[in-house]
Amino acid sequence: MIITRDKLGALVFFIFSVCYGYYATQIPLYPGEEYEPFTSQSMPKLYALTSIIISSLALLLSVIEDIKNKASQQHDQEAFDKAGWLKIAALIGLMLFYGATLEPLGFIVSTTLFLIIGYLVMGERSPKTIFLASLPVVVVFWAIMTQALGIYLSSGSIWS
Amino acid sequence: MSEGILLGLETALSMQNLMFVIFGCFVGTFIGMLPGLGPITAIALMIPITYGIDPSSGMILMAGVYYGAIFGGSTSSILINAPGVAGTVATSFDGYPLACKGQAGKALALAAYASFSGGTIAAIFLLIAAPALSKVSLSFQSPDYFALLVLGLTAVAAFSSKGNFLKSLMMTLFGLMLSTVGTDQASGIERFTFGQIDLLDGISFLLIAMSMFALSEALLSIVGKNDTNNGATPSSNMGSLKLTKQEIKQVAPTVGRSSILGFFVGVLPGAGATIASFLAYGLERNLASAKEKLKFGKGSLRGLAAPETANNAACSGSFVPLLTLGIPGSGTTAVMLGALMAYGIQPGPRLFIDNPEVFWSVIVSMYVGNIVLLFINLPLIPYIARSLNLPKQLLTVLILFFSLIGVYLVSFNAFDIFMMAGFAIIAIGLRLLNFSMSPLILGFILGGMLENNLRRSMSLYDGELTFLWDRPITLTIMCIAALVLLMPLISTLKGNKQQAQPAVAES
Repeated sequence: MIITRDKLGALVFFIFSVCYGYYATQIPLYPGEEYEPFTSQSMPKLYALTSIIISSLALLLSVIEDIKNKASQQHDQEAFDKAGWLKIAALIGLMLFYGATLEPLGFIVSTTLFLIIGYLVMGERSPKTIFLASLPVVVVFWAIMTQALGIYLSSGSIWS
Repeated sequence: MSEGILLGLETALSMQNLMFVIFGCFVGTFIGMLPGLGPITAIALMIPITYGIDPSSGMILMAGVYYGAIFGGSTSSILINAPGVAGTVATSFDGYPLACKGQAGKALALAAYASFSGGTIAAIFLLIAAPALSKVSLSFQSPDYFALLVLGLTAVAAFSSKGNFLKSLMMTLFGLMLSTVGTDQASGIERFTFGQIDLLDGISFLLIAMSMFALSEALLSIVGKNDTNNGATPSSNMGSLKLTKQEIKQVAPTVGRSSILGFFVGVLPGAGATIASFLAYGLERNLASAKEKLKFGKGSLRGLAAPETANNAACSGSFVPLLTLGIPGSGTTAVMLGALMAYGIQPGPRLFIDNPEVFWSVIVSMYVGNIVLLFINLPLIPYIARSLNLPKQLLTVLILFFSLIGVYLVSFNAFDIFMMAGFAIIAIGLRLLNFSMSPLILGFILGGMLENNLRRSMSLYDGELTFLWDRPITLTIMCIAALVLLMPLISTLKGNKQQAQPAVAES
């Protein structure tokens, strides 16, 4: 059996709903609350039940669809853009790096690093462009935020 | 009502708010023009700014960005056949062929006039409909609200993505589930926090909106999943911006029809600009004479005016349920609802009474926004279009930065940045599996309201479910919701039958 996108989506959602439903039963209740008609568990349980039903239905329908269209089975294979996906992965890693360094290194240093590495990942090679689109942007943004709007931005815990 | 309009005029026409409308329209046009980035991203990027200003200015700014983004989407549809927004896909059908013929200027001007007329006519409807509906909805009780929320959520799932009803329902439920994370408002019990202190307050809607829309759209544009741009660059030759009298005469009835159609489609929960523009395009094509019909898709002025008018009219229409019932009709208005709630303002029938300045200034700012688009944006379009040539490698990174810092500036918690990266990955996965994001954001925002209203209704009726049919209004709304839920199923079955019939005939 070929895993189509529809089937995969429904399956993932089904598993997610079951896990969610399990954790919904683990939500603590106050003593005696189990006799109340509506508790903190009610809504999550309702959502879990509904989504288990809907995802099973979607799974079933996509399997039926598959059997029906067996003759004209078409893979939705698209050209895999490896370089593009690597860039996306690198940018997500860069976001995590930004989250980890924003407070220790301070806004200006970590944002400048984020932008420079980001431009390099995206394939920008001209040093002039990279410089002009990073440090000046960060400094202007910092000045507007801290000086004009009075919003505090971390100055870096490792420097102080 | 006249007092209200005066109050709205006073608020919307203050120097500061005028600047916000102009700024909003510009920024919206710019972001809307970038292929792959829609009005939701544009508005989400504005939210951190609006936290620093008062609610009515914030709403005015966001409304300006909304129209701007739709107009910007039309511009890129016409110039490079790359609709930045789903609502302007129909615009490219006839807009791009016109641009190819060297009449880009005319097409843009017509798009601007049509948007202006659509927006203005719909704003008049809104002016009449909103206060009237507000008064009616004052008599609504918790069970009615619960029913309305159920209707809104099912309608969004039914209308939002064509033929993918179950997927949209799954996304709505996913949004509802995400909304249960954090401390339960009524009992104070922690739910799904897994011992994380950062999750006690729940997940902020801004974080969800930014990561699910802005981040994932910007990242996916790298691999071209979001990009219909076929490599065309905006031509420098715009042609004349003028329309002849005869041409105006030709499109005037179209504009009238499409405004009305667009407004009413916009009012329906879940429908919005995309469906309105396609419906209007289809209607015009059906109404056109056989000779005229041949021109559709090859640069027909009527074919361009219809979707342009309807999508702007639908934008105004979608404010009706938001302002009067507090129930957003689209993903975009859902984001606005989230922003209003962050101000501590509860949109709904009380908005009209408690915060009249917000209510009226939004309505009045719609006229102002439309005028700004027509008189300021139009002449500047050739220059704004050049910014489409801004290198993508810089733009993507800057969008990522503004999204991350936008969320961080509200919470000042670096944990949010990690969470955004996580949600961006989830959103990319969901988009690859052909799930649409609008139902998710709507479910997420309405989740809390849905739970509160159900809880209140249950305690009003001693834990019985009789509240569902005890009041005629509740019953009626629940029936409509059931119908909306069953409609896609019926049409699927019908489709199967129709498919089966020719097969039988052939055999």
